[in-house]
Order: sequence, then C-alpha cells, then structure tokens
Amino acid sequence: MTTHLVGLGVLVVVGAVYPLVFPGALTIAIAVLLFAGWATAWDVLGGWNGQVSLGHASFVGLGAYVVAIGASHGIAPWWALPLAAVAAAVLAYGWGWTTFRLRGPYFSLSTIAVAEILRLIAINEGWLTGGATGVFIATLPEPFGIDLFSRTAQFYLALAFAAGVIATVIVVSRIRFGYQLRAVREDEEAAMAAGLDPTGVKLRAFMLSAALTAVGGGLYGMVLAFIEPHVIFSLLLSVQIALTSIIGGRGTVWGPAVGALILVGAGEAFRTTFAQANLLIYGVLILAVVLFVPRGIVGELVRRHVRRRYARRAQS
Amino acid sequence: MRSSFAAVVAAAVMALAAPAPATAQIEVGVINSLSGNFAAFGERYRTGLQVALDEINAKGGIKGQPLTLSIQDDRSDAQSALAAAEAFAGKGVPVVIGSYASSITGPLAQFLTRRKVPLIVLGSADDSITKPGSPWVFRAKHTSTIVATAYFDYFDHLKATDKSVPLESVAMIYGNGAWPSSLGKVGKQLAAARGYKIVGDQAYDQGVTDFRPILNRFRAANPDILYIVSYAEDGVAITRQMREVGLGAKVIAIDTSAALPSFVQQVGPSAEYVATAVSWSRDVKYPGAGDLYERLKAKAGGEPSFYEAEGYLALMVAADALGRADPKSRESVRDALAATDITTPVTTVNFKSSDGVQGQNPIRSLILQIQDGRHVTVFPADLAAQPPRHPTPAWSAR
Repeated sequence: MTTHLVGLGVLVVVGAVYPLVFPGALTIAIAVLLFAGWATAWDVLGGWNGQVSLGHASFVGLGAYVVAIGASHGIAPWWALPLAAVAAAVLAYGWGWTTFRLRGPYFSLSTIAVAEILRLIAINEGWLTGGATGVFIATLPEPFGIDLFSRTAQFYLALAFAAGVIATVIVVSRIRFGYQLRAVREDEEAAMAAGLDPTGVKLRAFMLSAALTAVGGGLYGMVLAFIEPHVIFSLLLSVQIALTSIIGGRGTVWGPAVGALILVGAGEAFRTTFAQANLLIYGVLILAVVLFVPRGIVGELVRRHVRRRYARRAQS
Repeated sequence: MRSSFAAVVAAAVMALAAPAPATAQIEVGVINSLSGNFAAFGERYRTGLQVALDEINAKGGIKGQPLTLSIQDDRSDAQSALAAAEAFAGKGVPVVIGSYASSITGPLAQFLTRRKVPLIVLGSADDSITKPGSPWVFRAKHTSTIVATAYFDYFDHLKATDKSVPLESVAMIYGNGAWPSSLGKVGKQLAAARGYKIVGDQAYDQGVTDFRPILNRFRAANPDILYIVSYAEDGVAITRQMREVGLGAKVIAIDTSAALPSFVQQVGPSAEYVATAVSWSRDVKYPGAGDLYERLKAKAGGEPSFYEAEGYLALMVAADALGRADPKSRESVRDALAATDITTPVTTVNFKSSDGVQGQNPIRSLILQIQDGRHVTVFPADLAAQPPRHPTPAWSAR
C-alpha cells in the first residue's frame, strides 16, 4: 500500500514539474498519461476481473463526442465530462447486462460489435454527430482565464485523470469489491458458491471501467479538437488500450501505466528515429514482451518479488 | 580518473549545448504519413515534395539560401502528427506542410492555428478545414465542394453541348468514409439545385465487396448519370459488377478509384468512357505540365498520379511565399501566403477568401475520361487535351 502511495506521489511530483522542464514535448506526455489512464481503467475489467474487452474505443469515442457536442451547445467540459462518465456507465450497464451471460471469448467478441455500432451511429446520425466528416471543437470556455486548448492545461488535466484512475484502482484493490473482482476472475463457480453474484460483480467492474475511460476520452477530444468517427471508434484504438495493459501487466496497479510509458514512449522514439521501419520495430517489441514476459513487465516483477520473499521466508 | 571522466562529460555537454554552426538555410517542416494505413499515399506525396525541392534548389533556393525539408512521419495517426507539430512549432520552422487524412489534418490545423504557425495542407480535401478555416491554414488543392461542383459542371457541359442526349436523372453510390460521404452530400445538393432528378441514392460501408443488390435496383431506375464515389478496390468491384448486371448510363463518373493508374489495368476495357475528377493530369494545358510529368515519373520510378503533383504544389506554394517574406517571421510568411498569386505546372494558386471559405485556392478541378486505356483530360474545355466521348454506349453495344 505504501509503495503504491509513494508511486502516486512520484507521478504527481514528476508530472507537476514536467511542463517546466520539457515545455516543447507536452503532446507526447499527454498521450502517455491518457493511455496510462485508459489502460488502467481497462484493467479494472480486463485484469482484475478477467473480462477482456476489445471495445474500449467506444467509451473513448463516447467521451470525446459528449464533450464535442456539449461544446457546440454551450455545455462546458466540466459538465460534459461527468455526463460522459454517466453515459458510458449506462452504456456499459446495458451492454454488460446482455453479454455477461456469455463467457470467455464471446464477451470479447460482443465488445467489438458495440464499438462498431457506435461508429455507425456516429456516421449516420449526422444531425447529432456531424456525420462521417467528423466534428470540430471550435470553442471552449476559459475558467479563471485558463485556455483549455493550451497543451499545458491539457497536460495537467491528463495528469489528474491518470493519477485519479490509478488512485481509484489502489483503493479498489484494497476493498471488498476488489477481492470480489479477483474471486470472479479466478473461478466463477467457486465465487458463486461463496455467495457472490458474478454477473453483478462484472457489471459493476464494467461500469466503473467505462466511466473512467470516457473521462479520458473527453480529454482526448479536447486535445484533438477534431473528431472523426472512423478513427475514434476504431478497433485499432481498442486493441492499443488492451495491449498497453497486457504489456505492462494485467491485474497490477502500475502495470498499465508502465505499459503506456513504454509503448507510447517507444512508438514516439521509433517514429522519430527509424522512419518507415518504425511500426515493424514496434511490432517486434510487442512480440518480444509477449514471448519472454507473458505476465507483462510489472506482472513479472511482482511475481519475482513475491517468489524471493517466499524463498527468504523458507530459509529462515 | 574521476576528474578526467568529469572533464569528458563536461566537454560533451558543452559540445551539445554549443549552438550549431550557422548554416544559412531555410527549413520547412513536413508532416507526412510514411508508415501505417496511408503510407502508400505518403510515399507519393514525398516524391512530389522531393521533385519540387530539387527544382527550387537548382534555381538557387530561397533568396540564395538552400531550402531543406525536415520530414516527420505521423504513422497515419493524429496524436503522432500533433507531437511532430509541437516539435516544429518549438523549433521555429517558418511553415509546416501536412498531412494526408482529414482525421490527422483537422487536429493539425487547429493546433498550428493556436500556435500561430502557417500550415499548407498536403492531402486532406475535407471542406471543414478551410470552411470556416483559419488565417493560418492554406490549401492549394481541391475540397469536396470543388470536386463535386466540377462533376456537375461537366454534366451540365455535356447536356449543353449535345442536346440530342437528354441528361435528367442521376443515381449515386458512395462509401461512408469522410471523403465519399461529403462528396455524396454536396452531390445531392447540386443535383437538386441544377434540376437533376435523383433516382438512386445509396451509401455503403467501407469493406463491402458485393454491390449487385444496389446495382440491380439502380438498373430498374434507369439513370442517365451514375455518380459513384469509392476507394480503390470498391471502385474496381463496382465497375465490374455494373457490367455483370447490365447497369449502364449515358455518363459514368467514378471518383478516386478511377483516377488511379491501376484502375485501367484492373478493370480492362470496361473502364472506357468512365470519367473522374483530379487536381492535375499530365496533359493539362498549364505551362510545364508535360515536363513535370517526366520529372515525377523519373523520381517515382513509375506512373505518377495527381498525388505526387499535389505534393509538388504544396512545396512550390511554400517556396513562393518564403521568397516574398522574411523567413524568420511566421506572420510575414502567413501574409505572403495570403497574397499568393502564381501559376505552376499543376494549377494556378491564390487564396482569395469568399463566402465563409478562408485560405482555400479556388482550384479548377479537371475531369479525366478513360479513352483507349489512358486517362485524358476532357474538361474544362480550355484546359482539355481531347473532347469527351459522349454518350457512353450501352454495355451490349460495346
């Protein structure tokens, strides 16, 4: 627990000074923080609860669209973001209610379908979403004179988002709900025998995961200032979110954040150094992690740490 | 030992911190999709940019200083493009050129406007980038409105020149991506405004391969004009299946797909008579077009398309403005861009704003028709190499 709080403290302190040290590299830092938040939120369902979603782009897109449509109707982001979270939770409730009776890969497949449905809605309901050509966020209010389009403001919002999601997971991992999540992940029958309602637990995990992801999606909308449905609801984005968490280490507090730092950081480093080969090298990196560190980077570290502790105890 | 190590470190730090030797050159930032989904287009744009760069530097650069390009890959992804744009904004480049997809160029335009860096659009044709636009964003190439208008101007022209062939009804098929849907949308408005009856109107999801149900329905409606907006593979499938189901029309226009050199090879003789809009072709009557074609072809190592020409155009516009401006001041470069008035081998360029449009060149799109297996410019008449072959005969008569 203390380790986690120290980690959170380090994140906030490093984050607080980052814009002063690297004022010219904020976009990439925002991307790292958003992916850290999304992957951590994904992990509530995918890691702690063992239900792999390949549709989290739905919530990112939903968040972005709520902020964009809100902005065009004069609804400020501080109202739009909670609204997006509620909308995402409601969507997750309906979606989970119908699909959590399915097990294993069937749930994952259904998540792809939902993102696809949202994409088609965004394309065809042009009166609401701007249709296939997308929608601009042209103006945002300026609370206390802060320009919400400035990268510095967006950086601190993304930092608050990532830290908030990680803090939520630290809390969840300690409370009863967190143990319920893990019980359902390990063995649904046993959890049921112990008096748990697995569908209810999964539903709550999904709603929490969705709501958190949508908040990050809203911030992403503000960063892009232009949203196109084919891109924001793409399967690629869903896979990236899941992959970030898997590479970093599912079911660990810091795994997804470390995954975001490595994947987004490496993506940017490769982009600027390896020209056209960058995606190839990126693919090789992912392959190497999956082959040699299948538990994810932080997952592997945690396992080694636990083993060493047992070994030491056995010796004494 | 330790002190010598410290000395080495200190020397290294000083070497890194020391200002680079003052090379008098002007660097333009380029954000292009060189890897990922749009890499095929990015490669074509790069060829065009390179040909323009060679030409500019062979003529002595900008005010005697050589021009260089700082090219950053955006991995076909908006977030990477924004990171590259931030680097350029911090680095002090006078102007940025980029990128292909509107999902990337839209965020770029928003960001660079806020950072007050002039942007010349490389590939995106989405209306919304220059309407309402921004004082910092310039586009020499076409928009969806310009292209759709070119098609309907062409239809009107055919109707006016050959009154024996009535052109009254139009049927439309378009993909649901950003570009096809906006061409479809503007097309519908123009058809209504110019008195064409819409007898078929169908959007399809990208990735569909069987168009026969749509085409059969269209055949029953018997349209005079077919207005089709598709990506590469879809357009080939649509044309083949049109012949299969026997859907003909007096005018067949297929956007994007039919403009690619590979279309003729893949579709074969059925490609004859098909019309398509482009921003440039090798036989257009602008001075130097033929010469540009040869240079693009040599650089590309294959048949160039209008994409290479658009890359060339973007850098020529940048170079012209830099030549009239103080390259150290972005305001000055922006003002010079706004005052642009040049003729290139690709097209004429000016950025006179009108009815809610800003920073957009009112480029005259060309209509090409496939004649004897080649793309031939047929409209507008004063730029055309050949007259259009009209009307398109029925499939049974070919």
